[in-house]
Amino acid sequence: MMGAILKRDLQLAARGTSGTGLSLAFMALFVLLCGLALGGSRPDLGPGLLWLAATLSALLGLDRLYQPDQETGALAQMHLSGASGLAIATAKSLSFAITGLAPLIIATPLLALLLGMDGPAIIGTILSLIIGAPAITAYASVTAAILAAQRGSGVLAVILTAPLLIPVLIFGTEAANTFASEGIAAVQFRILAGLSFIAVALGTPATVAALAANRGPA
Amino acid sequence: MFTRFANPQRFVGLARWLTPVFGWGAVIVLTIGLWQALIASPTEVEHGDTVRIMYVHVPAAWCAMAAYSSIALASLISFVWRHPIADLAARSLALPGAAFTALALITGSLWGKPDWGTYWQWDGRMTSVLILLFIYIGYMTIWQVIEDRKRASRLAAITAMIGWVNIPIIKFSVEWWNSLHQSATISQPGAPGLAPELLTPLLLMAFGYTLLLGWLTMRGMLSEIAQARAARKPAPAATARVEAL
Repeated sequence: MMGAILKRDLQLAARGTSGTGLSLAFMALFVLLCGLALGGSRPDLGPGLLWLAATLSALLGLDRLYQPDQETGALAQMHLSGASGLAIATAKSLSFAITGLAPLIIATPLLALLLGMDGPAIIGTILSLIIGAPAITAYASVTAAILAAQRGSGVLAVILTAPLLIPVLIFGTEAANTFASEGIAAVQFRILAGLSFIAVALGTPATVAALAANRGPA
Repeated sequence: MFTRFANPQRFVGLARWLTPVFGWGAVIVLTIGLWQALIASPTEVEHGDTVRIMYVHVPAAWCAMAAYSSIALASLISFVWRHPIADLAARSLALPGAAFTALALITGSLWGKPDWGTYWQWDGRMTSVLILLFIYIGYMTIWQVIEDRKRASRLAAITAMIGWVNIPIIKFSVEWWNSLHQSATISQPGAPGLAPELLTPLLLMAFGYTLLLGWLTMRGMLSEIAQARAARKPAPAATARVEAL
């Protein structure tokens, strides 16, 4: 069942409903504006800016995660056809990670070149983003599930998710910065991985509970 | 006790006499506490007169964290047992809690300027308290935007319980990161502790703040119950008009 939901979501995304292009465009524009506002390339700020750009761009697409399916009744149908809450939440989170987050991480090296970052810094940023991706996905999924029945809740989703993501952002940026000197074994990477585990452990049941609360009779 | 006050009517009975106790208690304790803190207590060796900011800053921070933890606990009770009063308590604690958080941040930065030479430092303690303020704002927004009362209460409870992860981060931030902020002085065994003439007004103020928090929350809960009753009963004027038609 999980596979079926994931396949459906990926097919929908392939036909252009996931807003991946929009997120990518926002991310590129964000980096471009940062470059202009900060007066040219600032490789020292690169990891932080890329983390910000990736996180904010990913959160922009949050209202496409559960809200359309809640509105059309697709979520209710998945539930009726016997998919467990866990299966729905996991499949939806995976599809968000694949269609909403992975393209942004893939685009990171190109944007890093725009900021004038060097090799180790770029690799560090990508690695830290990959390790932090479960945390971003998990918290994004909770907020999207909580707001599933609210139309036009894009900005609110960002406001709700951002505070939860602050520790991830702090350690993600620090991990990217220390990669050049200490490599992947740096303590910041381990903390980041720990934050990701906590986020998944907290976020998955909360997503299931929020979807259930939005499904039931009012 | 737990199920007894699940009945709003019984709770109102309790709240009727508890609310004035909290309210007048807060007035009396805060008056004595403020007099002790601002006038009677001696200045501190290192801080001089700025130590007096402590008496408004520390209790505000304590209450901000206590209020959030209470929201999380009440949310858990409301989520698991659908306890209506726990639900009201969680909702009514949010605004005073957010106000105490803002007060802690403001007084903290006013204290930071003379003592550390800066209003703000991006370190663990200050940042995590600022995050707490945003979590409060997010929590209150959930209640605002979701129209359906029952659904809002379940979704807000989930939000509150997730946001609770921030509380241990605040508590231990001064130990995990190097911070300008001083670490736990009173509660830790073996900590330097506080001289009794400074500790007494601090504890008085903390008690007064807690009573104030209790009073504000009780008032909020009573007003929620009154609103719910008013919504259930059709307004007399409206009924009259229907009958006239």
